[in-house]
Amino acid sequence: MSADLVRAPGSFRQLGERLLGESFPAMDAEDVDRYLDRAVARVHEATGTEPLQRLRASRAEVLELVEIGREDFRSAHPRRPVAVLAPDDVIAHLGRRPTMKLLARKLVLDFADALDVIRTLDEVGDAAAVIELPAAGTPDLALSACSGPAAARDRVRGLAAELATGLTAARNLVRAVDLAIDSAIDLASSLRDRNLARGLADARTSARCLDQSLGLDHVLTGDLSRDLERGRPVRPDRPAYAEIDRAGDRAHLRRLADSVVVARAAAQEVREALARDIARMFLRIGRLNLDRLDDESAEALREAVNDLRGADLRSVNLVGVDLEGVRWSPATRWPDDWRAQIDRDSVLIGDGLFEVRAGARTAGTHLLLAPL
Amino acid sequence: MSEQETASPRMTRLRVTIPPLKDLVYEQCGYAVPATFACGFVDLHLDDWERAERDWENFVALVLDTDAVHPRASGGVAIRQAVEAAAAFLVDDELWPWCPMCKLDADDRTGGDR
Repeated sequence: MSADLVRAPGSFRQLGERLLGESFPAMDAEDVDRYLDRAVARVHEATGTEPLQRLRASRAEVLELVEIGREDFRSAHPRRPVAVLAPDDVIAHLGRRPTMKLLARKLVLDFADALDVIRTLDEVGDAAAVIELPAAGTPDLALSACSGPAAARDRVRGLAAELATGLTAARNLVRAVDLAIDSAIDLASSLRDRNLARGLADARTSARCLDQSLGLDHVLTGDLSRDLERGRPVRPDRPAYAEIDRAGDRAHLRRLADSVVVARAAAQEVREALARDIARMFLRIGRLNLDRLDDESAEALREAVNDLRGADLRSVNLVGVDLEGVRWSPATRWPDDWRAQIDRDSVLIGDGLFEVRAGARTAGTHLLLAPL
Repeated sequence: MSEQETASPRMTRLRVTIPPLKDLVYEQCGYAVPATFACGFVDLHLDDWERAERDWENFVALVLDTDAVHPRASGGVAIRQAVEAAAAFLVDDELWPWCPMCKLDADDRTGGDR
């Protein structure tokens, strides 16, 4: 609105002063002021506007009034301090609200799996670091046995035995690494992280290539030892020797270590994302201290969400819920529609304690019957 | 009866007028004015309704041009604020009833000395 459309009003107080002066000439200035003060208060009460005081109020006074208003609001609505939660607090909360266990279950189990994957990859990394590949290979020994004097055959036989021992040790470690990577892949299957899956797959490929190469070398070393022991001629031009590639083995070992590092970084990212998701889920009761979500607390959380003994779950919709590993007791109240299936999928594992078997999943077969 | 139109710069299509005293007699008149204001004001003018109306409208017209009315108020809103401010100004515990236009007060009505 332009300025000329806004009225430039006169002073109500001056008007009142003039009218009072004309009507009551004997009235002194103090009485006029008192009357005007009362009149202004009445006008303010009646109209909500505050003549004179509104015009006289300085910016500082207005700000002061605003601040007083804020203080009043704060005192009337004190801000509730946000509780900082430890994992034990979350477990206690789940204990009070068992139905929430089913909601938090996937998150918690994935989080625990991510921690397990990280721990496994740490072990794999440590094991890969101590794998020692023998310096010399079987072809070198075969060539020495063939071209050297007869007495050299005994010495070569001793070296072949040493090589076989070194290859066995290296191969055992590689196989242990391979198995550990397999278990990590199983654990990571539910995490659905592409980087983690690629890192683990690369690591497993490298470990298996290495195992295969070391296995071939081991077989050829055994053959050489037997030939030397039985006095058979040694053939250094045997085609299989060409497949022994110690430089290639070292490259596989390097790739294995690199892949483990990549997979571990990916698993760490997944772990942090899941920890934030868990914290968000419990934000209503407080702020979860993420630093305290370690291996131990993850295991405790996993046990907590799996423990449904005595829980009343009649109002819970179980459609699509993965119940594998859930432990329950006869006091657990399942929805009527699911009771038969739960009984069928569970095994007795202790005194009045049942566990839902692996693979049990309340998929949408009962979709229409499931209570909502 | 003459009616004082508002001097609002944002003149609306409807001509807003100052409510006559007879419209302020009842509690549900739509204006927050003291209950005895209209009757007291007419009584002050010795039941001369026309004179009382004229003084009332002239006084409200004066108040309309003061800061008792919000600078951006116009039309009915400005009239309402002026009417309520004018009535509130006059109805004082010590001086009411009195008329700022014809300089009448309670002593004039009772014939006493000021």
